[in-house]
Amino acid sequence: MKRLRGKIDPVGFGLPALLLAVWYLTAKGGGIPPYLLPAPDKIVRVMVDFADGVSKLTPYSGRMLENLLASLLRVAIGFAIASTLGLLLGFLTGRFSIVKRILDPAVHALRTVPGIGWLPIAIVWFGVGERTTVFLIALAAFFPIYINTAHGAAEVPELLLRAGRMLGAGPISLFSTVILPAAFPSVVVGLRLGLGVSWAYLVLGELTGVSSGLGAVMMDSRMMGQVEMIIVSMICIAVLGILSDRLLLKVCRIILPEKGS
Amino acid sequence: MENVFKSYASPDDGRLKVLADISMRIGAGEIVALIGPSGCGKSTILNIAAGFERPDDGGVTFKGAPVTSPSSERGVVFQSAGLFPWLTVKQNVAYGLKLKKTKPDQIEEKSEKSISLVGLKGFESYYPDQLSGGMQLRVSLARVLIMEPDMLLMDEPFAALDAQTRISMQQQLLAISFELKPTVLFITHDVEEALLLADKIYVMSKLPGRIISEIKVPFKRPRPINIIGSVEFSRAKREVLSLLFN
Repeated sequence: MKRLRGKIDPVGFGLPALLLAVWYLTAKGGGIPPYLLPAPDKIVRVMVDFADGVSKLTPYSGRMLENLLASLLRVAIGFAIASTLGLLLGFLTGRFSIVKRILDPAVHALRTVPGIGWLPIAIVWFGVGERTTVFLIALAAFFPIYINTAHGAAEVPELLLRAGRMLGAGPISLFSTVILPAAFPSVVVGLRLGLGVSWAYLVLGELTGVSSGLGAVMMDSRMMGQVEMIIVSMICIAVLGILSDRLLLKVCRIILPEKGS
Repeated sequence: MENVFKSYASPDDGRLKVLADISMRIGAGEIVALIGPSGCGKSTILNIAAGFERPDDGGVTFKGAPVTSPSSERGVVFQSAGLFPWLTVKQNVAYGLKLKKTKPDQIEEKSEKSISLVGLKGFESYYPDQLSGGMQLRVSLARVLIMEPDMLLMDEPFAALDAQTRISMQQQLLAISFELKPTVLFITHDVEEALLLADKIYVMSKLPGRIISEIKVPFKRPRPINIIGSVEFSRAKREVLSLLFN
């Protein structure tokens, strides 16, 4: 069967459509109470209201943009910090064995504490809220970026390095014209993983008690019994996650155009 | 190359002596072949001549100065091409000149010329993984020739090619060398190839590698490919083979 290259594969819609149908029928069927499983059409209406504030269905009516931006900003800052450190240290570790000997053991030791385990001490240091959230995001996103960058930088084939040097590349040119392009696929993997993890730790951080943000809305709506809003927040985070990933890929393709075919 | 010695650390904590007292002389415009059994250190000699490795003892002089690092004056064609997979054929060929900050229109002109010279006109926008082994080799030759090197170093360039492509490449090399008259040192394990292409052959021993013999190849240029069938050729081939296998 021919897969349409670049276009969206219709087969991929099959399973979600099926699940959606089952959800709709189950919710409307009456077997499960609406406070456990709201119907999909209700979710859609609440989400639209969350965005435009017209129907005033929930206390969060019309507040989507402000919460979305608050969360987005935290992810952006945390991810930026993680990327800067992860890329810099990753390349140094990958290319210079002395750096690897100094840094790697320490980084891997830190990594053994799962991100969640950093929550209490982060609250002690930064208090509840904004800075703790950004700290957790940066911490969690750093590791995949660092590890994948180091791996990519270390795995550049010796043959290509020799070719570059033979053709006249000094250390800086060698880095920008050989090492960076050769390592780039690994770097992109690291960045994408880091971004994905950023969204996860955003929610964790916001649960501690920030005043705005999608994670905060999620926790708050649970306490207020607004079940639809919980699901709406989840959907918003998921959509933002996908969009930010696409954006990241686009930026990466601009930096280093993917070869054709 | 004078009195070069080279050893590597071996897996059993000893030292593996790879090269013992290697001396070679290559004059301008000479095409020299280095032939020897597998693993006798031929590639090490090439790496030292190119400047990728330093000998433990002895040294290499090039145009009067010692060789310490690689340079585009000693262009290397590697055994497995070593093209940058993220660049097109044209970008690969233009790489060296771009580093030198040559003017774009000059780069354009010289790239076109080099690509034509190796017979790859029309493939400028292809990526290395879309090319056959022989074509990749030709690109790696083009990216070196464009730098107008004083010397070409080739490490078993045709070893990975099938027999027909190899003959075609050898013919191309004969044609190019007749036109450009480069100085070349190439490594091969193929006695016929050495006799066909070279003016002088150095024969190496097994490990630790020594130069057993220096042979002047008597055939005049231009050399037609069918020289391989001649009596003199067979005689020369027997001579070299007996040196290799003693």
